Amino acid sequence: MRFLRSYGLYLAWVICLLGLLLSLYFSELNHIEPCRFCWYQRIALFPLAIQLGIFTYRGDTNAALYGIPLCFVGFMAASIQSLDLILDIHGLCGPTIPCNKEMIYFFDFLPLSWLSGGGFLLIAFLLWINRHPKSVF
Amino acid sequence: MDRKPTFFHVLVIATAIGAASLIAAGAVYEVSTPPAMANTQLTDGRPRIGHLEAKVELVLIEDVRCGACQYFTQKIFPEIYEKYIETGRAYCVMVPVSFLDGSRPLSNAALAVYKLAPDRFLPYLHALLEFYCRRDVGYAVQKELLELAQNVGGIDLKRMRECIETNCFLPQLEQNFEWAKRILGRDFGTPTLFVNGIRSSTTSAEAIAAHIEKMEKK
Repeated sequence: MRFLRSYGLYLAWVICLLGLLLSLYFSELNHIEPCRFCWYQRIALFPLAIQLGIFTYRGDTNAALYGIPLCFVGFMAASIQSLDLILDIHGLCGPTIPCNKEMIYFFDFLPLSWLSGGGFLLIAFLLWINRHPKSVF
Repeated sequence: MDRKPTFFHVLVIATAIGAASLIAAGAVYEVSTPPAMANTQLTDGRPRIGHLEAKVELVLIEDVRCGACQYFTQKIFPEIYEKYIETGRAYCVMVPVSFLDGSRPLSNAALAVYKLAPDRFLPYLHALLEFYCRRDVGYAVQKELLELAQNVGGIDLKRMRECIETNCFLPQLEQNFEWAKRILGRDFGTPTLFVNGIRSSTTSAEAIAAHIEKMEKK
């Protein structure tokens, strides 16, 4: 716990950067067009990657105040996207995604939307335990 | 900054530089990799629509059971067909591939229609996509495919039945799939459209039109 309190913000930022790199890899190098819900997750993730970098450098414990709402947006989008897999609701991703790539698995077993949702939860958790004592969070 | 940089600050800066370097390396790799080109000579014998003397060649790789392909064929392709193919400015080579559940009999039937009555290919393809859009391919598929052919009209149903029963275009479908995988590599996906050998958009009729017009001017 002490380690998480010391390095939690940094870990949250590293997770965020990994998500950013993975997202850019799939869209720009693997040429998989992001679906509607992938875009909502990106809208939350990309600013978080910059914000958390600044907060981490400054050791600013107010990161939770700005980061957790974005994590919530990203987690909700990932959860809705995961419904496609759990409830087998086809077409959630829209008609522009090549259908053999509708569901992308990380390491062949972990759906990318689950990984994304888990990542947002973990970032939110790390921000929460590193929150400022007087923060509204 | 009034504070002295600590190990932690160095770690943060190193991480930021590492991430930025990875993004830059990816961008350099993407820019230096030439776009996928289709050697369309390999598609000889595949359905061709339009005037072969046209200056622009479109190559369309799709699976009839793929939702994105259905959307492309029904919503985007008609605009391209009307503006460029019907007017003799471009022709299109269709390369059906079958890798999705239930698509083989459908693609086989579409190819059979092209062999028996090339001018009925597009109407049959549209009827096929419309019919199987939200329907599973079940045990009655042969009967359904023949009924669709009858509705479209102008197709020799006896020969069509023979072809459906013997899956006569299965080798060509497998050949198409291998060809598509070879030329697209890790970027394999459907639908894929090439305009004079260069990969084009499959989501915007405007982008495809711009690409065709650029190729016409070359």
